[in-house]
Amino acid sequence: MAEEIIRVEHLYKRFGDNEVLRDISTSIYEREKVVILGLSGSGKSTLLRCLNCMEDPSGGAIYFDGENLADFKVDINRHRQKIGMVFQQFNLFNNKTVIQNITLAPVHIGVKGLRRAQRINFFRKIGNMFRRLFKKEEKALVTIEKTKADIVKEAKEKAHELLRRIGLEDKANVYPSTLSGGQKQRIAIVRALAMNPKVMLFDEPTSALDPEMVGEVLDLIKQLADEGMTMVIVTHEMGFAREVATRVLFMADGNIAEEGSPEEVFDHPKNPKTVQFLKAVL
Amino acid sequence: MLENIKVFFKNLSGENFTDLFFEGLWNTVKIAILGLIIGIVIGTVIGIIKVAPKYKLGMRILDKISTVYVAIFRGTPMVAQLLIAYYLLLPLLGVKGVEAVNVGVAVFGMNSGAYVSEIMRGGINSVDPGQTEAGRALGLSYPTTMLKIVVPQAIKNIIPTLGNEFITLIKDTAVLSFISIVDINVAVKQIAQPGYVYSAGYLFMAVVYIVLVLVITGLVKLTEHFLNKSDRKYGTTKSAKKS
Ligand SMILES: Nc1ncnc2c1ncn2[C@@H]1O[C@H](COP(=O)(O)OP(=O)(O)O)[C@@H](O)[C@H]1O
Ligand SMILES: [Mg+2]
Repeated sequence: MAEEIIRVEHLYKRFGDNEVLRDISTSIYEREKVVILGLSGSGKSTLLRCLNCMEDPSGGAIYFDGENLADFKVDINRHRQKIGMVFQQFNLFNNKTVIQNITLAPVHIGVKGLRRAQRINFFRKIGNMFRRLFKKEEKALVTIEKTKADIVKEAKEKAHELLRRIGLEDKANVYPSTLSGGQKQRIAIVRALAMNPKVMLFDEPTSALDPEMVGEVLDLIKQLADEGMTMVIVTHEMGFAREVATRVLFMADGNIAEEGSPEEVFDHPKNPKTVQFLKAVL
Repeated sequence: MLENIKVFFKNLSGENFTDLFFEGLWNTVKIAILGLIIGIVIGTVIGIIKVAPKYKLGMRILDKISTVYVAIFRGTPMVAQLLIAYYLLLPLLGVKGVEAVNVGVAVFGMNSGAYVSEIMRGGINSVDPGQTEAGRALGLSYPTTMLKIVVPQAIKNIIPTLGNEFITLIKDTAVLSFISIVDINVAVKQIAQPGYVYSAGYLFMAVVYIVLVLVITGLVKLTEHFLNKSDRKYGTTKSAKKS
């Protein structure tokens, strides 16, 4: 069995009196492409956003990397670095150029790690002076492999490589306001990829696009899927869902009403609600 | 009146009075600028605290402190703040030898911080929440997301309002005379004394204020233009010419 990337256990989510998710349990395995379907308002986005705790669960647990993300004591920021998220509205940083959008988080997080190591070493050195004085064994320093310049250079190289891949290297130094929706979304996707995530979450990545731009974004997602990226995708693009999904979840009444392979769910739906939904959208 | 104006300018051209005028002008401008800078820093911190989620006890405490701070500085006249700081707080704390100008800067900064915090809160709320979401989803902390992504966009949105705050500060410097700082007011009054040409003096002072305000307005426009580079479409100059 493939490695379990995310495990959802008895997940509940309430907004005030509105119980949106009711006791959901499921797991996302490595290299899986899970597509979430459901009527508008059925809680698809909420479920997706609970996976990286953009919405804090009201009950239950989300396990990632051996830790329960729903626990407030967990360093959620560290885990989110490894869970890429792509939004319907792209959400590129308006005040940053394309390349800055892609390098901001890797550089910031790299430099933060560097500063931490430097801080630790500073105190270890002071401690070691005393240890020497009292003839105790000295503590080893943290090895620092990269300078800040290295971190920046690496992030930029990676960003250029990603931009080249999507054919937008010439847009590296422009601001998002100058780009088309399709270009924005593809850049948002590589911005997430620049963090080397273990899993990518897509919330209706093509719903805000003009029809002629849907294809370029879906093609990029398909490429990532073929390369083995683990994904959870909320989408209304049924053809794409059928093609890419290894598993389909159909959500209704705050829970997973039906799940299975695309063939099972699309061709032989069992739940009357799934039947009704498919009739309406296909 | 014309005669008065002539007398006033004759006074002003005297070396001592010219120096006095520039000292007053400099104090007014300096205290307003430094006050605004301190105000923006304090206002940004309070603005962020105000909009931050309040899960943690520490955050709720900071929120309460901010509320009290804003209430105090917005709820009392600046003159009272200046007098209390200079004649009550400093002696009470046993601090000696602090220049009145520095007290002015501190009080103006803290006072302005209370007003800027409200402006900043509005500015932050005007930024698309998707920007915060994207930052947090990438694993950036809340403060980092705020400082690197949201606040720069908020500041861009509130530049005109900050310009107004600056103009208010410039005009408020008139109260500095209460702690014997030579601002434009004090300077002009002294310059107008020989020959009792006060009416001409006040007219001159009004003109000086208007010029200052016009300069600030120009600077605000320039800053806006500069900060708007992220809105400008690259390459539109060409296509604009075509159409
Ligand atoms: N932040 C929120 N506050 C209050 N209610 C919310 C919030 N987000 C979603 N909801 C409610 O949760 C339900 C599910 O929403 P959502 O997960 O966005 O559905 P979907 O993505 O399937 O269309 C809806 O009834 C919606 O009104
Ligand atoms: Mg949704």
